[in-house]
Amino acid sequence: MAANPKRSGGDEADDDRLKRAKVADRDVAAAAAVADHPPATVVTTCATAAAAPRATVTPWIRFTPGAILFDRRLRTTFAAANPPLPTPTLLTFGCNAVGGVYARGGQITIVQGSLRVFTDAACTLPWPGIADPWTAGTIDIDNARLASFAPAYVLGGARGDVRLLLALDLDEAFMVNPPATAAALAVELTLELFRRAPNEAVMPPLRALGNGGRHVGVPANADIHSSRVHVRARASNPQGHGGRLVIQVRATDAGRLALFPNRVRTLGEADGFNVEFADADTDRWVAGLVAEPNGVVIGLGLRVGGATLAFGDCVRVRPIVEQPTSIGLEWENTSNLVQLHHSATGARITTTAFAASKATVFRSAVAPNMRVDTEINAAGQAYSEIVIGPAYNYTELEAMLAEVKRFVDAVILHRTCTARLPANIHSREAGNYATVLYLARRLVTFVNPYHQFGGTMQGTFAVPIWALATFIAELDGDDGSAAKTAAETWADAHAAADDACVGLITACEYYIRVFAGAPAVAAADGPKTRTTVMFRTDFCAMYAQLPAAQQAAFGVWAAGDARRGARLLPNGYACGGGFQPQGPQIGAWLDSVIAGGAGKDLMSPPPAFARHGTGEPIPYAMGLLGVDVVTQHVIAEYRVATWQTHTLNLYFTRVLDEWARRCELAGTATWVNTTGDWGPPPVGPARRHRGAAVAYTHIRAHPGDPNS
Amino acid sequence: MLVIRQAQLSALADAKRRAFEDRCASFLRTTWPEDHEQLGEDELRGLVRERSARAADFGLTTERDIQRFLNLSALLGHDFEWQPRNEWIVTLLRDSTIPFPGKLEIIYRVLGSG
Repeated sequence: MAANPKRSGGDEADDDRLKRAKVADRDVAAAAAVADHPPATVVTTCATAAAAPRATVTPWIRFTPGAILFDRRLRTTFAAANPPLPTPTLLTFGCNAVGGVYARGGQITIVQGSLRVFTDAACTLPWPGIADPWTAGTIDIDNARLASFAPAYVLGGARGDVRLLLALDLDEAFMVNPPATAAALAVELTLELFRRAPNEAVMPPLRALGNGGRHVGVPANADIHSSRVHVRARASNPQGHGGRLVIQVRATDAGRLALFPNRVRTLGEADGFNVEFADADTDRWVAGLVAEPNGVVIGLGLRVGGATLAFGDCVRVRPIVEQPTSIGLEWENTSNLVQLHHSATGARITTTAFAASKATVFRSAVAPNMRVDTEINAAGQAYSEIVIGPAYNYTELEAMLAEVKRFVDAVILHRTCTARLPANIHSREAGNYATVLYLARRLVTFVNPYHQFGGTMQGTFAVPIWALATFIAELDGDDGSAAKTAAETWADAHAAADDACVGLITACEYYIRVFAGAPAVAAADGPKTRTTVMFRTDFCAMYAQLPAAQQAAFGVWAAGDARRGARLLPNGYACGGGFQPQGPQIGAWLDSVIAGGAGKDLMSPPPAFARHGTGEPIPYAMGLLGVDVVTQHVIAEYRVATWQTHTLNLYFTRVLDEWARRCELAGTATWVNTTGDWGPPPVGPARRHRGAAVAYTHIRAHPGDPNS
Repeated sequence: MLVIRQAQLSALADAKRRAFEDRCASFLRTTWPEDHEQLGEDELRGLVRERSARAADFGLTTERDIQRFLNLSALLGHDFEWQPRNEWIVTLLRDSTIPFPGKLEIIYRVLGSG
């Protein structure tokens, strides 16, 4: 088969194929001979061809993507008078019952909490037949509706967790021991949806200012739960037909999931799979322990009336242990001049040190959700950042990017742009970082006499450590991909290393590859200018995230690295007005990651920069932060995106895609299997069935209600 | 009164189906000869049927969309949706909020950016 030209290296043959594909696509799109209506007979044929040779049962419910919630920063930054638009959680449910046990539909019941359910993404059309807000009652779902994948858009109705119950009816034709079992309620899946409750405490101005722009993209709420799925295996009803209910997991996947009786796993508690339950209501929680891209198959087996449907209904669960990644954006611009407006109600930022333009002031509200952070390098000379975020899903990301683009376009096109930013214009005093002039929601004038408004867009991510390898490789296809490959290759030969360990090794490998062969770094900003991905979190904090066994594995890798004697930044680098002739030895750096001297490794920051935590007025960015105190995620900055916001969109969307896949429980149902054996896969190329009995993520309170 | 029997309807449907399959097969042979010239008539027709079914899974119903999907499929490999590296494409194709031509534009742009 043809190669994917993007991923296979993009040689000339691939480029040629891509060009041919584009030309052919255009030709087809423009061809009058190709019908714009369904080839109805083909659809019939397709349906026939797609008919399953074996009965399948694929009940599923899914919440996509990871919903956002307000956090303290967001709520403080965007006052109630100007809140971000609500982003609903998309809820879809379905049951592709081609045959088998469940073919009659079912019911979804809300058993805890409050939701508002709509049929449109704008959340203007309430779901028919459901009270708004929906706090009690059952929605009957017939099989036709289940099969239609009708989407529902859900907003939280009130503070608190939400619990839905999906109950699937047995098919009338299912007669193990007729007639009683035809009405038996076999399995109920309870879907728990957690949310991060907004913290309504107003951030004190000084704290807001001190925080401003420094921790973009980092959630700041303490109420975060890992995602879990509550599975309730019900006793056979009526009684007497049940032998046992079974929840099993494939042995090869053991350890990737845990099944335990309580929502929060007790430390040391054994994974609870492969246990047969009595014929009684049994509650268990399924949670991911380690990210598993291919998912883990668990079987909900039913033994009724002496006949066993071992693994009769299977769900594939993609476990998660972390929150979705968040993204914040900064637009950096050097050499700006900050002046107060004469009215003292705003400020002016001039992009050069020249006098203000006489051009007509262009007033715009292009960037209502942005703010401006400045950092003073010299008297009156500001280094400014236009900051927006964080975003937790595609909708917010796209809105953010659109706003950035509008803003940048306005500044480029007009000599003077006055934006009504909810801005925090900081101090004008040289070297002053923490004490700032607070001018929230005032006009800010950008003077651009030469139509030159250069800058760099940067994105700050909060990333689970187990996902670091993919993250780095996605954002830096050269050194990042090589680092990921090297780390995974090493881990393949060391079974003790898990994804988190690979994540840290990849991060180290990445710095080694970026810095080991670096020429002299003359840029005043020093080593960080060499990086595509810069870690704001220091490596000691990352190391501390690893369990003891993984720390040991990392230690084995670090001690055995053949490059220990070589140096990072061997040709030196600029550092705060001086020049450091060389960086640390790789071995010494890796040792410092483990030893955690003074709490920071030797590259956080690199030698000759003021060590973090020593009262430095403007700290160096590398390794300034620990992990996020709430999510324990690694904070990293993507530094090299430039003007092309569409490029940003693609990059960030792809990264967010990666997290979205990992950060929801989604999966694929397998075939009904009545023998207890897994049996062969479906005929032909494995046909993926939309599936998974359950998936869930966080939902948020209705954002239109400031008290929610 | 003209009465069209079920058998006649079936025959008509059969003819339309075969005509569609012929057009698609011809398209694949012409555009991607290196991948398809070795396939026999029945194999190619079966491939078209299978990929058309897959297109239907992605909500593509018009002949034009199905043919554009076949083109993409030929570029990436007719098993592309099973390759982990293409998961983002599958996710995009499943996205009901973006029209299919928009999805193609994104896909080709991303593929070309690397």
